[in-house]
Amino acid sequence: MNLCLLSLQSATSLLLIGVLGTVTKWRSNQVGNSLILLLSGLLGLFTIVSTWGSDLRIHTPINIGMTAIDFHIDELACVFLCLLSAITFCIGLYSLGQEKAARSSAQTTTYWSCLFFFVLSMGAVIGAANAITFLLFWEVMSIASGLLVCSDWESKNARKAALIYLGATRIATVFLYAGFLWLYCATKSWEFADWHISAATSAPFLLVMLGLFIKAGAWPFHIWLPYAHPAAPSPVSALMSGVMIKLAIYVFIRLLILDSNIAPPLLFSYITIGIGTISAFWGALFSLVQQDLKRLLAYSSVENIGIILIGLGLCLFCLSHHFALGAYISLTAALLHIFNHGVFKTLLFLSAGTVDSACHTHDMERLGGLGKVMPITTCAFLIGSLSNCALPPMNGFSSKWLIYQSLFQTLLHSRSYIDIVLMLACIMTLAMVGTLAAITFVKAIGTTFLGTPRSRLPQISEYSLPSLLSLGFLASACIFLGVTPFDVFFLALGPIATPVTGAVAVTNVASLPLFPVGSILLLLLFLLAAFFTDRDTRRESTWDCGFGELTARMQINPESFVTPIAHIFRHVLQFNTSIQVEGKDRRHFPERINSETTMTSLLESRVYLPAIKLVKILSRHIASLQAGSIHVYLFYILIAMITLLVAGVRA
Amino acid sequence: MNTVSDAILFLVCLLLLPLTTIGIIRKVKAWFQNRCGPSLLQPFFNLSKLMQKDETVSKKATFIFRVAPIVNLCSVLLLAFLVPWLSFKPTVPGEDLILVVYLLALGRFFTMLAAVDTGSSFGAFAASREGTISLLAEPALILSLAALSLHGQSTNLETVFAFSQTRSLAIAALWSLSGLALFIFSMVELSRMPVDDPTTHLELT
Repeated sequence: MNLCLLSLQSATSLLLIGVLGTVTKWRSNQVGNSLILLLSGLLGLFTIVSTWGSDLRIHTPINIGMTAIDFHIDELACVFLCLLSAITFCIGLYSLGQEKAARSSAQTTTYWSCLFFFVLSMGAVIGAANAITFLLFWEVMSIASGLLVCSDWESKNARKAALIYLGATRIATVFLYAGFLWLYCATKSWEFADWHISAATSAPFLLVMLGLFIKAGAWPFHIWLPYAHPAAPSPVSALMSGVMIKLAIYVFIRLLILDSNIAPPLLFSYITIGIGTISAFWGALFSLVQQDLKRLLAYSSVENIGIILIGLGLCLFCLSHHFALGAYISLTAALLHIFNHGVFKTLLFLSAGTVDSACHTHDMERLGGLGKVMPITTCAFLIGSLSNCALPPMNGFSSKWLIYQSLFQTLLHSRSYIDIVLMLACIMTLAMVGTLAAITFVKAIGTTFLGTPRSRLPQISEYSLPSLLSLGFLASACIFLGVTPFDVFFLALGPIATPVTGAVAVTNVASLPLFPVGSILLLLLFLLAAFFTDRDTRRESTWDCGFGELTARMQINPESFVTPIAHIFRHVLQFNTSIQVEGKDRRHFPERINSETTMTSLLESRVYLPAIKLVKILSRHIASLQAGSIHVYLFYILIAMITLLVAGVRA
Repeated sequence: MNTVSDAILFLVCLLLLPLTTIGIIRKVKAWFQNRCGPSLLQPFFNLSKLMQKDETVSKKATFIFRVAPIVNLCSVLLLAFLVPWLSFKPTVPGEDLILVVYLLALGRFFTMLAAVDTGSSFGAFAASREGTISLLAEPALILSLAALSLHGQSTNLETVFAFSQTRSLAIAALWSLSGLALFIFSMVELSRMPVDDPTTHLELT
């Protein structure tokens, strides 16, 4: 116990020293700061190994207002701390190799101090035992990540992204504040452990749920993700997508699933499953049509959050119906998918970051042919994509299989027709989302790494060993987690679910032999590859139909690759194509062909923009209260005094 | 003794049936077109001829182009063991509906990547079409198998296809509808006539 406290304290103090170092410019070079991240990640992992299975409570004497800052690290927190530490470690290792990333010194100082604060506050949010501690560090986390999003503050896009992100975060926090205050009034306690769902507290819990959905980036509140991720530096995107949005899910699990003494109302489960299903589909569909690599990954995070929410919604559903087996499997599935998504999304964002730092762009219209010059990054991105598309034997498959399995179990258990239709719709959406993701990532790999470059790319500089090591580490984690047998996961994640579901025997249900299947697949692959690759090979140029060498412009572009699907879903995407042909004999000898496709996000143009306009108009009217005349202000003070007097007399 | 003979029979089927099926399909197609058609053994001759040739790979292609056929072969070999398609197939663990569907998807993923890899616009458009068609077909596959597995109370295909003894109109309807959906899906997956014409697949190379 002392050992784990010691390592936790040293990780914290390392990060604090890092902040001090960067702020005072005492030691603020890339290598030192990366090493701090790397070491604190390792120490965090060590903490988890030594605390595993035991509750760690830390009381601090600092008292703000109503309650002390307390931390409580249980199994659930351990899982998320493990994810945070692992990703911090990888990002530290990755940053070690990105020394040449050109930044001004002011930018470097803000970047690193914010990054340290970001990691530290995420750790504190995970450990928070009461609402006040949670909100304090939640705010630090939001501000630090907001500053990190606009770390390239000279570009207009980054400033806009940060504004949208901070706006979304503020709204999320408002809902959380309202919900927490209400819960405090109902229970007279700030401790998370004292808050239970009941008929009296379901309204505040709904508010909290709404706030968490905004932060998690679930549909229809996901619009900040595709702005924030392309603007943020890749390690920050990885942290935000891999860990930060999961923290909202973490609080969701803690408050709504684990702390329920009685069965939660069915309404919660229907809302969660519904929003999860729409998020998964919406995210997959919009990620398909993106031209920007990091925007594509951002939408794919929306999709995965949707899948996680389906799992959690199923868990709530099963808890309401007292179906312990389903609740147990679905909670484990959701936790596993959280972890797996964290790993492979970090891998994808870091590979995209390598592409970005080599080519200075992440616009797929201008990339291409990187597979020849960056084979290892290509391999890493390929493994990450396979995981994201849930293809065996990668880790994405194991968690998605469990989600499917929990859907099937719930389906077998449910009796009402509405529930059966709902579950079948979920299964269909998951299948569709899987295929959409596969096409999306074929497009992403195909246009970024395969074919020939679509624009004149700079001389791709040699990339550095630590970054590649980090990618390799994450990629092997994807494969390793993919072939780990389910028993291990149930053993590790089971203690989290058992307090609410009771002990459940899952061996007969979740019995997919991942390890033999995965290893046989990999073994066959290696054997056949060894057999086939030593054959004589001739290198020729691609068949050009006899018209001379193919040029880069003749390749498919990322937009036309997905046009058929965009056309199928044109009403959702608002996808329009217009082609104008000019020339005397337009049909046979066109002189000029102009093709234009447009897409507008319905949510942004029809919902959010009018809402923002409304707020602007309202605030203009409210602003007229601030007349600038001292007489009016004195009048306000008079009114306030009278109101207070009346209120005082009445009380 | 029985298991050994079953295993040998299974291996023989695994080696012979795929190519013979191609031969039969070609023969039937030729008859429909008033032709004689090639011999049933022609696919075997083709294969032995192709195995003796050396490879030609595009200069633009990366390692993915070389890996894709191998991944495809691996996934179908695994599928041959996982799908209960012969009564004497050796029982292996993992005969799971979702695993089967996603192994099919793995092969398709690599086929599409290989098509994009050479930088030819034909290949990329073919990959795009393949993706679009699979997007429409795959949910249907999962739903039809899910309907069967609901009836069989398990996602294990061995259990699902161990035909239930209760004979009723509803179950017959369920099986025939799912079977029809699976048949249409296999037309899509195998790029057969009403959906696609394999003789025009020159562009996928």
